[in-house]
Amino acid sequence: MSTKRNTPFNSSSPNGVNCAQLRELIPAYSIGATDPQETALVESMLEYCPDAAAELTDYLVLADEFLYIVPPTRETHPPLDVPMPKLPPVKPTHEPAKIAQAPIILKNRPNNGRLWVIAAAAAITLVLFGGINFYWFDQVTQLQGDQQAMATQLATAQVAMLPINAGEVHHRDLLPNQEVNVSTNAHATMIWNSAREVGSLYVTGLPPLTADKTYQLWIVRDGESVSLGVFRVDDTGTGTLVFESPEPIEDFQHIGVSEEPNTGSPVPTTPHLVIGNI
Amino acid sequence: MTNHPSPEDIELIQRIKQRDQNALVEIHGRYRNLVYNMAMQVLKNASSSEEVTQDIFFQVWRWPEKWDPEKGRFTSWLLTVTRYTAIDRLRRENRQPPLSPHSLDHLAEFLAKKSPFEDVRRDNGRLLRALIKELPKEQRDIIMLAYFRGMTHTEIAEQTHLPMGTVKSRIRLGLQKLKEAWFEAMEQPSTEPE
Repeated sequence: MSTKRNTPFNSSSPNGVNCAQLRELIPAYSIGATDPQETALVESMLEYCPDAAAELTDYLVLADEFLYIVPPTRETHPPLDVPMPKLPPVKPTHEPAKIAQAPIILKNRPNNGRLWVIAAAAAITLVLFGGINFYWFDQVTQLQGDQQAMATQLATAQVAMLPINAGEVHHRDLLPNQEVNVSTNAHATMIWNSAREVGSLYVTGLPPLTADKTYQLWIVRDGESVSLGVFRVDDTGTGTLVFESPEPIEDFQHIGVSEEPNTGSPVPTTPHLVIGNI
Repeated sequence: MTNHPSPEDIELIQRIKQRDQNALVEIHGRYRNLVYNMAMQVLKNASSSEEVTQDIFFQVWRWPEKWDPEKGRFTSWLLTVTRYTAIDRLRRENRQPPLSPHSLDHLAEFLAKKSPFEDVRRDNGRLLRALIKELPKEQRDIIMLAYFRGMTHTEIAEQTHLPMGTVKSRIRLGLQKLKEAWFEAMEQPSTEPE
């Protein structure tokens, strides 16, 4: 609700501050268009000019709305944001019931032999359609599931890339540890920014864990392991970890991921599943 | 005007505070285009806008407590941070996107486009776009320069070669008209000028 004010334009506050001068600057101040000395003036005088302060409140509401007029320069990406196409209401399991009714209708016309042929053909057609419908229903459902999983993986990968915005970026691959029983598909990529000592780990092919377990990322130096955090993987074996290292990562020699109790562990309690050198 | 934060945003930020990376994935998926669009509006450069977008979500991950739900919606905070970050970047790069008649016309052109928001903000954004479109072009252009390029009175005067007094009066008069029209329209929500 806009505040109606009747303060004369050349009004001054009791202590001599020129509120009219202040009110002229309020609109520009609300969107950050005042020069530094004007900004300082507004901020120092505001408490002496309550009308101007109230007016500023209105302008700030308007400035907040400005945030929402930005046009969509980038539309949403189809794999992630387009809603799943609506499936036609195909219920193939109901089709056989319709087929079963056909002979009952034909009982009223027992002398017409051709009708039996037509009915049989219709029944076969319906069965075929039912089967085809079922096949495509299954295919589409499966594709939707795949699409959803890919979208989630893509979003996960995008998040994993967040820390590499600026500075010196390093990356290392972690491969399956030959000394333990882990899928040969297990793989991880660790990316970190040595200027900020932040990074991320992107993992694929690790088996999903039960609720009482978690994966933990370690950096290792002369037998000493430092945890960089815990993470879980989804049903496809994909997971990410965004971490901040307490010490420069380049001071360490190895990277590894181990399976640990749900809340993580101060030291590794199981062998590393995937490993890499720094 | 709803300035109440959505319960979903509050929950997601709460989960991020507990270092739940799935929440970050979710919030990133939900708002990355919003952030990118704001960055792009300021920077006019796709790769810089991508980098600002990444940086913003990394900030959300590192300092989720910076958003105070008591002070407004998550999207308002997110867009404000994005706008300032993009403007800072523009200044660091010591460049201004081309200030051609075409670019200013483009600013006007988008006022007719649909907003990407699905809530009440979409309607407010549409309303405000319509109101801005009704401003005299010379006022509208100067206000857009101030808001999306982060330019001050002096900088706009230098950039446009207009007298300082003209710049000041155009911003003041334009925003005064806009404020009056905005609150008038808010009092009569059924009469949307579009």
